Amino acid sequence: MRRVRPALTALGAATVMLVSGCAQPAGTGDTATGSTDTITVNEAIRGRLPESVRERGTIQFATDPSYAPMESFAPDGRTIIGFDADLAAALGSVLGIKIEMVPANFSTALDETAKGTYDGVLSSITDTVEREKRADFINYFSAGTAIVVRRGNPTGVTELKDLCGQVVAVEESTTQEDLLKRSQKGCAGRPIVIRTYKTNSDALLQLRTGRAVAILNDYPPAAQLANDPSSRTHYQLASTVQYEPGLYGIAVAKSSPALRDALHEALRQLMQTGVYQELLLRWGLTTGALQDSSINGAGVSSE
Amino acid sequence: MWLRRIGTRGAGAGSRLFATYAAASMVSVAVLGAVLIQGYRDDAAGRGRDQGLAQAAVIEEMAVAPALDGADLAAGLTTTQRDRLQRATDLAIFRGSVIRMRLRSFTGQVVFADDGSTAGGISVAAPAFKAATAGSADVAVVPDTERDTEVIRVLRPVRAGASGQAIGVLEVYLPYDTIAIHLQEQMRVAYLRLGAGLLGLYVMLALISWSTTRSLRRHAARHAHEAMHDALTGLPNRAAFRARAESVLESAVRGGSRGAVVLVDLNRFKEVNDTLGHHAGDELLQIISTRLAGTARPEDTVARLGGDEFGLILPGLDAADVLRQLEGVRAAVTEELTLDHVPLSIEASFGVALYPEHGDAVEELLQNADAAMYQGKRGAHDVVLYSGQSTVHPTQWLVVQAELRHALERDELVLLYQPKIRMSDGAVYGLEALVRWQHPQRGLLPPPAFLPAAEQSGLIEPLTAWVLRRALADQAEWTTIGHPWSVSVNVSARNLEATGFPRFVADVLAETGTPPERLTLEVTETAMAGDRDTAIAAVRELAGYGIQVAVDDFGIGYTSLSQLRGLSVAEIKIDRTFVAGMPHDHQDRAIVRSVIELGHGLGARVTAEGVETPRVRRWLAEAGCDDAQGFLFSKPVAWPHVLDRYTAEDIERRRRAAGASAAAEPAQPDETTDHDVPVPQAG
Repeated sequence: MRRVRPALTALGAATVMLVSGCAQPAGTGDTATGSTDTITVNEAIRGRLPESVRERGTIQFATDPSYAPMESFAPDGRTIIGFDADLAAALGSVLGIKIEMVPANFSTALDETAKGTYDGVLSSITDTVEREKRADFINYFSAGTAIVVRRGNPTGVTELKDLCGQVVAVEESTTQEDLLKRSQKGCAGRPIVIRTYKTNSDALLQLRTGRAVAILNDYPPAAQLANDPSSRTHYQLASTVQYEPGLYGIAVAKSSPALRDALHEALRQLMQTGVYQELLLRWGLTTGALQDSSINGAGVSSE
Repeated sequence: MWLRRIGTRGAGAGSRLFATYAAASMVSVAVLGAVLIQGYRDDAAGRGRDQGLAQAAVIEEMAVAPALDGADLAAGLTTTQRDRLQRATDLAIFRGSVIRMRLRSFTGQVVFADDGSTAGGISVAAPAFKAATAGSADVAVVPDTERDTEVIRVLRPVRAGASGQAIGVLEVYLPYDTIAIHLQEQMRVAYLRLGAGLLGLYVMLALISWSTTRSLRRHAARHAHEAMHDALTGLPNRAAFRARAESVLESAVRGGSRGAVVLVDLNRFKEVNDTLGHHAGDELLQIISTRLAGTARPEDTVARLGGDEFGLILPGLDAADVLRQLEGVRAAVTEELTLDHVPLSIEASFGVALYPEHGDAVEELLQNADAAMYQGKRGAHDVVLYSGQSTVHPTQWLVVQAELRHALERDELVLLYQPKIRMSDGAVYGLEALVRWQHPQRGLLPPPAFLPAAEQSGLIEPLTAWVLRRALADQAEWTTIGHPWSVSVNVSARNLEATGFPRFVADVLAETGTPPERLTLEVTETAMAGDRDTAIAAVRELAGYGIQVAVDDFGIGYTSLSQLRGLSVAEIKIDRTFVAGMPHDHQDRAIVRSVIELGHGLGARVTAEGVETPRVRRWLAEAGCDDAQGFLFSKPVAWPHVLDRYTAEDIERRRRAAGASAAAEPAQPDETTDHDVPVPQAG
């Protein structure tokens, strides 16, 4: 089943889609020293890529496009858009290769990457100590977890303990699933009924249909659900609290340190030239901006 | 007949008007209908599309996407997925809610079809398919080749799960029948309504055009009638008469038929108007119109040409028939009538021009009829057939009148004199003044060439005045050299009718110092005929002044003897027709003898006109005639020439010669009128 979809989206197409089709107010390049249009290949960084990658000219990142604004399907149902998609394209531009975003199952993406099915995972995946055992993480964003409930909050959920005894939907293998499991301790005798789903959209469907009282999302998609005109009539945030803030990371197989380092250098260049900031601005994500990128920073930033 | 022709023209115009209205409204109703029907079609198609999109969305989301459960279509379906899809669609196909459904990968491969076939389906290159691969739904109402109806075709991406990932294209065909039936019903109703509306419109338009053309037709007919008819009498007017005459003549020329154009003029109309008022005049005209129309045959035309002048067109008659019919007309017209309690007998003059004898053009015939009528007015007969001779062409009258006016100013007129010879001694008793016109181009003209024109125009009064003055002046000259001859001047009926004429004559006599008894005014018998009271009164007044009055052309007019009785007539002139007939007609001799006796009985002198042979002269002398006048004695000459012939010696010599060579004297039988005789210039 885990077959690589051939010939996905062209880098240019992704960029154009991002500029012209996205709902976010698009800042133009004048806010930063660099522009996404004028990124030139940094040969020094490109030179650090593994020989095989340079020859192939293409790498594939697994992603679960059910997490707007980080990654989601465009209206055509096939193109993947979002900050992660734009970041991948920008990284590709620095490295002089094409980085394809491939729809994949989030719960198995890390394992498939370790097996070599994908070159990495770029899917709003939070860098955790646990996950660092399976892959290396190039940190590029910071976000905590928020509780999303139905508009009007009919069950009166304001914090995690309010979820005790309630059905909560969550995408499987996410830090949110972990958080819920860890929260069971506070629910004496009335445990949270945790339902996990393959994608975040499937989990959200449970909330929409009323079969779950809440879902847990990273803050950026949660905020989008509560604010975007197409969804805000159905959802709202239970509170403004972000639980367990962590770093997102681009996961790369531990067997590919050269790719990891090249990507890290490329990301740092994007951060230095302002392209990174501009992309965050475009997608309304500046609150999660990092000053600099680290590798495997889970142990450093969160307990 | 004309009205009917106008009527049929009107009906044609009515249907043309209706046809125009009908065509115009047909076009607009057709356009309206087309717009309406197109609107219904668009509406139906729009509803079909909306319904198709909605149904396809439901099918995709409720049946197809759940059955696929996130399958990768490019890899084909599992048996389970295929079974689920089959179950989901079978009932809908069976019930007819869905006609055909295919599930296709983005490359166009038919992954699933309700009938199990992997063939068919829309081309990958079709815009509809491309739109679906790009994420948008496409809907169209297309013909269904299998069922010969229309179906709604929808192509839309299949989104496998909540994340919105498109995995393929759903191609579904949905029934359009209900919408089509509804559309047909709507169109049927629309056609019915349009048809009914058009029908109603036509009925209304027909009524409108009928009423419009009817009023137009009436209007036109009234106008045409007014244009062609005289308002007072209701008879056709001059224009209608002319038009009718033209058409009659045209057909006469074609068919070789004959007929007559007749002009009728009432003789005393002006008097009626003056004495009884215009109402009476109008009433008289109406009565006469009725009588004229009453005597007309159906094919005849009676028209009022203006004033008291009427016109008749009598087609299909020869001269005798025309005169016979006109005698009836005359009898009807002159029948006594009562106006304002005054019994009247109106006479009329009829001028007849026959076609084709007197012309085949309206103008020509009218002129000839006019000339004939004028002759009738001057003469003894009411009905006068155009003779073709001896009348000045009426069209020249205007010219003659204008020239005559100049002639009076330039003194182009001359007076010639014919002596009246006393039978007892052969001496000159008096001279009759005869006017001639020394025309600068046409030479010396006799009275018939210009007197009618003068009478028509009123120039007769200055003309007579001129003649009178000149005659009296000439008389003064011969008086000076010792000749006591009286002078005779002809006056016309117009002169006598003019008010103040006797007074005028008396004034002229006073101016010249002429004794009234030395002037004789010759009045034609016709001028005093009938009940011409004005003329009679004038004659009485003249006689009262001591002026001698002679009755000219006696015997051919209508003078009643009772009128002569009351008048102090000084002289009676026997008309030349009786004198000329005397040698061989004992009746003429009897008449002449009687007239001589009558004249003497009334105390008047009797003069014989047209004496041309010594034999006649002798007979007259024996009969006791007082004076004689004619070529036997002298042609009209300038007065000094009278002196040449009638000196005392000459008279003596001629008396002797007359006795000796009466038979040798050349008769001049052709010279029946002194007017036509070439006259030597006055010297």
